[in-house]
Parts: sequence; C-alpha cells; structure tokens
Amino acid sequence: VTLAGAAAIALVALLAAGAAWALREFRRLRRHAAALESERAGLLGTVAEKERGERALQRAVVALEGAREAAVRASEAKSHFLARASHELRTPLASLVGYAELLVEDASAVTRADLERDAGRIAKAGRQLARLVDDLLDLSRIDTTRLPVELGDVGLAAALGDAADVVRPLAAGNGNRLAIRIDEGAGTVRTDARRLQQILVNLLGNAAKFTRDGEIRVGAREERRGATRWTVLEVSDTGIGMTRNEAARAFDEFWQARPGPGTGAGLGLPIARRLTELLGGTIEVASTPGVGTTFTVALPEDGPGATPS
Amino acid sequence: MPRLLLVEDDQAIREMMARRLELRGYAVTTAIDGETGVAAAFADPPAAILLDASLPGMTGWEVARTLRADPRGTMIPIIAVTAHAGANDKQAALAAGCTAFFPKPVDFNGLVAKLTELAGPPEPR
Repeated sequence: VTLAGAAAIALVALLAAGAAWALREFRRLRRHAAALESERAGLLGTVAEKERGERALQRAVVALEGAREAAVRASEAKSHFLARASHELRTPLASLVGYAELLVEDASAVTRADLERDAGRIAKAGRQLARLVDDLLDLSRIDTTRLPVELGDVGLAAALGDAADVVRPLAAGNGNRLAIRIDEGAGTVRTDARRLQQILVNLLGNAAKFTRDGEIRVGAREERRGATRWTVLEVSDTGIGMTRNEAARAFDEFWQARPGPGTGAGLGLPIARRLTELLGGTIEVASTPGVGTTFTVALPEDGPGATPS
Repeated sequence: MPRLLLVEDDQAIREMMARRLELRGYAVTTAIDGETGVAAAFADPPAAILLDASLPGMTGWEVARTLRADPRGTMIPIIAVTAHAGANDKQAALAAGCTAFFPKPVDFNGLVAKLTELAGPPEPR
C-alpha cells in the first residue's frame, strides 16, 4: 500500500465519517425544527383558545350586564306602573270620598240641587273607578296568566257593527259621523269575538274622544302576506292627530298625548295592543297633527295558531 | 276668617274642597292652573295655599318653587294635596318648598287641623 493509497483511504474514510455526521446532524436539526414547529402550533393554538375563552367571557359579561339592566328596567317599570295606577285610582277616589263626606257631615247645608249634583259626581267617580279597575285587571291578566283565548269564526260585519254601536253615543256627542266599510272577501276571521270587540271599542272610543265634528271610519279587508291571509281592520279619524313622537308613545301605559277630563287613564291603547298580540296579530298607528289618526290591526284570518310567530 | 287659595284643575274636586272648607269657616279663592295660582298668590297673598301636583302647564312643584323664589311668596304656607301619594312624592313636595303634604283622598279633619296651625283657626258662621 502506497502512502498515496493510504492517504486516499483515510480521506475517503474521513469524508464518509463527515457525510454520516452531516446526515445525522441534518436529521437532528430537521427533527428539532419539526418539534419547534409543533410547539409553535401548539402555542398558537393555546393563544387562540385563550382568545376564544376571553371573547366568550366578554360575551357572558355583556349578556349578564344586559340581563341585570333588563331586570332593573323591569323593576323600575313595575314601580312606575304601580305609582301611576295609584295616582289614577286616587283621583276619582278623592272625588267619591270627598262628596260622600260632604253629604254626611254637612247634610244640613246641602240643598236639593246640591244633593243631585253631588250624588251624580259620586256615581261618576265610582263608574270611572270601576272602568279603571277593569282595565288594570285586564292588563295584569294579559301579562301574567295569559288570558284564555276562545276562538270562533267571527263575522266581520257583526263585529264592526256591534263595536260601532257601543261607541256611537260618544261619537255623536262630539258631532262625529261613524262609517263602516267591509270589503268583499273579508267575511269572517278566526279569532276571539270578545277580545276583538274590546280592541275595536278601545280604538273607536279613542277616535271618538279626540275628534270633533269629523268622521270616524272603521273598515275591514283581506290581505295576503306570503302564505298567510290576514284580516286587516282599520280605524281612522279626522281628529286632532299626534306628532311622530307622540304616536311612538301611543301604546305606552298611562301615557296621554292630551290629558284632560274624560280622556281616560291612558290604558285603552296598551290594552288594544296586548290583546292584538294575544290574537297573533299586529297593531300600528299612523297620525298627522290636525289631520287625523289611523290605527291598523292585522289578524291572521285562520287564527293565532295558523301563523308562525 | 282666614282666606285660602286652592289650586286644583279637577272641577269636581275643586268645588268639593272649596265648599267643605267654606262650611268649616274658611274663605276660599280658587285657581284652575299653576299660572293663575301664582298670579293670585302674588296679587293678594292668602293665609295658606292648597296645591295640587298634577296641573296642566306648570306643575304644582313648579308653582311651589316659583312662589318660594319670590319675596312675596316665601312666607305663605303651602300644603300639597295630591294623588301622587308615594314617599318620594312627599319628598319632592317638601323639596319644592311645600310646608305640608296630604295624599288624596284627603283626611279632611287632619287637613283642617294643619290649616288651623298654619293659617289660623276656622271661623264658622
């Protein structure tokens, strides 16, 4: 073996060793890189998870805060409602108790004419109280126990006619004409006759109160919206009307755009709205000051259960 | 006979209160809203004012504040007589400058006792 030969063998061996080492090192680095990569992915995953958790926590906090605010609002609304109800009850009570005490304590000073007027005022205050108690009970029954709905096929001609009969004296007292119009196709609606009557009387009564020497119209027509047929009832007047802001509050309990003697306690429209919703329908108001007001009630023609709500 | 000013917008309650107070022995002037009430109180200060809270236009508490802000009105006893009968309503009445507070329906004998203290005893005819 020559020296050159030995050197060549040594070189080859060295190269082979170097190559083996380089290969091992390459594999080790590749494994290391893969491990690092998987660690990075793991870390990224953890960060993402943490972020998701934080977002979920934030959403939960917002939801809780919302629920707390809603509960506070509901409680405030309830206190406010009770305070308003108490005020509305105390006003006729003050009249009733005051006149009764006047007649008892000062009987000797009461003339025949006084007696008639005072007793009349006691009776009026009593009737006002009875109406108010009925309205308050209706509101609370609708809100809490769900008023029973008795469905039947209600003839619209009779329903509108009956409601108009109830309101006619009040309407005529303010010099108003009362017109009924029922379109062809609007024959019957599957609903609760008594509740429908209540809705119509409240809306017509409202129209009659706030219209002088004008016209009150009540009409029924059929309308298709998608697959559902609706019975659309409209009560319109040529009365004092409301501004946009007033109309937006028209269905608020105890709210009155024009408070005054004989305008009621502001419960007629909230009751009409709740009853309409109970019957699966919707109620809307459109009004222009000095021109008039139109209330539109839409009820599902085949009954409350017939529409997805 | 002490003269009272009654500020009340409800006609039935106004007439009833005025008659009962007159029968007991007070002279009564009435006003149907806050603006008229303030003007009447300044024009001829009464021995006491009976003041309703819910009035058209100026509220009762605005009337009380207006009276208290004027030298002619600072000394007149003001008795709030209101259907707003809650504890916070009473606080609001006193904060506005009212001297006493009676919820409706009013305890009439209690009211006359308070008037006797603040405006002088009634003088029955």
